[in-house]
Amino acid sequence: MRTFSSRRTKAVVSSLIVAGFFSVFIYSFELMQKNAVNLSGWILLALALVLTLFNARKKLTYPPLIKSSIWLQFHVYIGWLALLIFFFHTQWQIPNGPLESVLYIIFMLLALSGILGVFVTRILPKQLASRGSEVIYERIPMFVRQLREQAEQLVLESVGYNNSTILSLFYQQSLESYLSGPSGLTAKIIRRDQEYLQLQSELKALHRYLTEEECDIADQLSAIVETKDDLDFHYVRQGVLKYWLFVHIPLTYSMLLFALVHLVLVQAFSIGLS
Amino acid sequence: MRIHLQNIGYKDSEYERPNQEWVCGWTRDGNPCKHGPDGDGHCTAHAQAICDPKKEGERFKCTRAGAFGGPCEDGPSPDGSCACPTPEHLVCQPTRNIRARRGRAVVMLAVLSFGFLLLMLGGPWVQSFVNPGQLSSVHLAIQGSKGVENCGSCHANGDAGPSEWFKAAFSSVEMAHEIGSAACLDCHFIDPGLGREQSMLVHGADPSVMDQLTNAALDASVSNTQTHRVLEISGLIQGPVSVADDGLACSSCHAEHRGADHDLLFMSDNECQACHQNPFKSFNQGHPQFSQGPQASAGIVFDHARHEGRFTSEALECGSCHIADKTGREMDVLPFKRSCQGCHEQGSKDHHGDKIKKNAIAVLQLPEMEFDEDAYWPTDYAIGESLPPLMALMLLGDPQAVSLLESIYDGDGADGDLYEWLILTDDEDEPELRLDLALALKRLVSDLSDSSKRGAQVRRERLSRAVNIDADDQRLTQFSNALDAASFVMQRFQQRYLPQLADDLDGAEVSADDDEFFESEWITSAGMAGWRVDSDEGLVSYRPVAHADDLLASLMMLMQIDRPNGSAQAVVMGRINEAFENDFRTCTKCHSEQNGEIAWTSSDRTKRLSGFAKFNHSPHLTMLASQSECSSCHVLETSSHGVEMAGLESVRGFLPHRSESCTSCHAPGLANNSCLNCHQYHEERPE
Repeated sequence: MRTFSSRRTKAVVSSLIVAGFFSVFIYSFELMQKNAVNLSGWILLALALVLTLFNARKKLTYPPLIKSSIWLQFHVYIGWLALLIFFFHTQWQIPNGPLESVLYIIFMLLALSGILGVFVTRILPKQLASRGSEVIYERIPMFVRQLREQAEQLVLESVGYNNSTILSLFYQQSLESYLSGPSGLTAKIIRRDQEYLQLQSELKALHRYLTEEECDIADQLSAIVETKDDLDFHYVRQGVLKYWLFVHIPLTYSMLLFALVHLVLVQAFSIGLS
Repeated sequence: MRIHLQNIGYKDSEYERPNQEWVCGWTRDGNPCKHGPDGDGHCTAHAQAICDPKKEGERFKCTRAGAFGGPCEDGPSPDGSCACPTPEHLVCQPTRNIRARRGRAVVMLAVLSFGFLLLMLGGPWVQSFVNPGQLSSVHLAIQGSKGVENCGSCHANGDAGPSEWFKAAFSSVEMAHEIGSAACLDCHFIDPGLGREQSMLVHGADPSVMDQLTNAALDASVSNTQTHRVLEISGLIQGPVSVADDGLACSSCHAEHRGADHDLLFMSDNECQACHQNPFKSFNQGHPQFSQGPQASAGIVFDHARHEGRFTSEALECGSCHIADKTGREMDVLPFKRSCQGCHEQGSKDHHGDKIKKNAIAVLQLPEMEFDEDAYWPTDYAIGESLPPLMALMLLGDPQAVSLLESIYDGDGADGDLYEWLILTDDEDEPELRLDLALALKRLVSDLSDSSKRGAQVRRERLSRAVNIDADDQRLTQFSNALDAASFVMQRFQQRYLPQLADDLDGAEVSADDDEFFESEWITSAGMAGWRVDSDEGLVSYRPVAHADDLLASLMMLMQIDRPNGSAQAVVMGRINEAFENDFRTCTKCHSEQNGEIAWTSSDRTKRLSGFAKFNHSPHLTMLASQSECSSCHVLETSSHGVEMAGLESVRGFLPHRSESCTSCHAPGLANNSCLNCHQYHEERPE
């Protein structure tokens, strides 16, 4: 079975060959004083439509039009190719017309969000697999609630042993807010666990004031904190994996709308000039 | 120690349904109801709890659906009401799942974009909005101001609205580039030249010229065929270059709307090489050697090598005769007075003007004729033995005299000699021919001696008929003006030999016996310099007085006009050419004749055989330490082999340039070495 690395190498090489072919093809058009911009425009439109079809393919459960994972691979490499053709089309310059400028910005945002998507879908799943257990994004709030209820139950237990309020006070002052929902999301993106480490440290420090039974409870609370930290870690990364598409997909259709107007104008104004 | 949260497995885990648009509002709180909202986004919390108990026999049974947990444990109240009035979950406000929210974001942005486009395309600012970019600075005047763009100046649909643009975009109108380029040609290439359509041909050149150049390139042996790999690959992809019969549209090369600073004239070297038959890598690698030296032999013929070695003890400095023109691009030749006259003084032994002055041109002389009947004719003074060619030329302008001249020149052995004419016409049966000739000559004298404006006009019309060109032609004007200067001399001639000419032409009875001759001395003035009357011979002649003589020059130009073989004009012109051959040769020794035109000044030279090359002397001159360094590029041809010019003695010029003298500076990283630095796409046609 071929490894992902070898498949990627082959795909990259193939893409570079195709990109090279398109580059020379368009450049040769330019050399021959043919309308290379027009050619690159049509190629770009075709590529954009193919790229958009990936979203449609994901919505279709039938007929089985090749596996989505393969579509995704094509989507990524065709996207890179489209970006190259786009630069040929704009002749490596930033347009200074209002319509073209808006279209340029939309396309660039679309491309950049796509590039971001490629990187996050390559990097984040590995990080997710390296920490905590596999959880479904939509269920994370439910798991957090479960942890909070477990923590509350444990604290109530600790009060029942010898009327000690050390753990209950600690829960009220520190743990309750931490377990009330996702926390420190920004910090989680860059993997800074200060709040988690502080809580763990404080819990450990409480041991000297606790009875043996309370220490067991504190250890369980520590496990809850650790699990909550894992959930936050998953929550923020899975969120990124889902929400970058909130930029990429809407921009796709907006770009197509502007491209359609651009195409109409080019055709209308080219009569007599091309 | 981490806590295990869930089992993953289709039997061990709840099944998530991402296709369901709505999710329970308590999901965010981590406490969603099990079944969630219905498909329309309504909370089902109430329905989950409350049922409509059914009576079976004496007891009511709970009818809660299995999906909501099935019948409750306690069952309904004895009265049949549901015993679970309070739902397990509070009623929530269901929310859309991530996928649905993403879908709404797509729709919202699409609607927003559509609305934005509608607003921009429907408003008065539409042309500003669709303007793809500012025009280059040279076309800014066409663009108009912001908000009132003149798109229609160049684009057929430019001034139409969005609806028309939409129709045009999907119409089957053929994109004929002539239409668009026509807007360019309204301002550019308005010189008739090859014509508007042909201006779009390759290089804007005559196709026959291009064929000639192409064939020459195909025949040429190319020593260095190394080219850019990309050109070879593009050749494989695109095949041989083919240009449509109707040429290239202006926009093929001159892309607009790239901003005010965009260089409309830019072309890359590869773009040039793509079409050329013998491509090479760069100016420094593979450019063919120059086949020509400087065009020293064009225009003014000047043997540089001869002047350097023979007439001066020291080498002439280039700046003695050459100076950069106003643009600095071309090196002009200083006028004769500043460059040549210093050595070639008037009257000096070697001055060509001195030779001319020895040869006076006979302009007017009445021929010796006898008449059988009374005729007004100065028999004692009319002693001409031949018909002066210039007089014959002017007689050609008299329609009634043309047949007479043809009879003179048409016979065997006839060569314009008056004696020959007398032999031919000294027929007793046709004495009228001599009378007709006398009358034609008297009309000529009358026309030449009229110093009024009308007289000048009459002379011009006569000459126009004689040489068969338009009366406003510059060459004719120059010749006519030279004759006008002699009208006073001609007047004196008429007063002396034909004093009663006016009465005679009016039909009055006049006799030569009654003539009272005008005895005063000949009066001359500055304007009449060169004109001379020989009283003994009854002859008016003209002798060029200096360099650049107007009459001789204009006569030479009139000689260049093509005339049908055998016509009276052709015969007379042939005679003039023979008569003045030596004088003309003196002029053409320096003033070359090319394509039927004489180069009177250095600026008249045909600068290049093809107008695709250019050179700017100005920046190169600043690099010279002294004028003698011109020879670093301009190397004299000192061999005995010269260039034949206009059938004259051979003239030596300069050796062809060596490209090495250019590539030493014009190389990558140094001075510009692109094709366009020395070549121009559009052929510069000599005016």
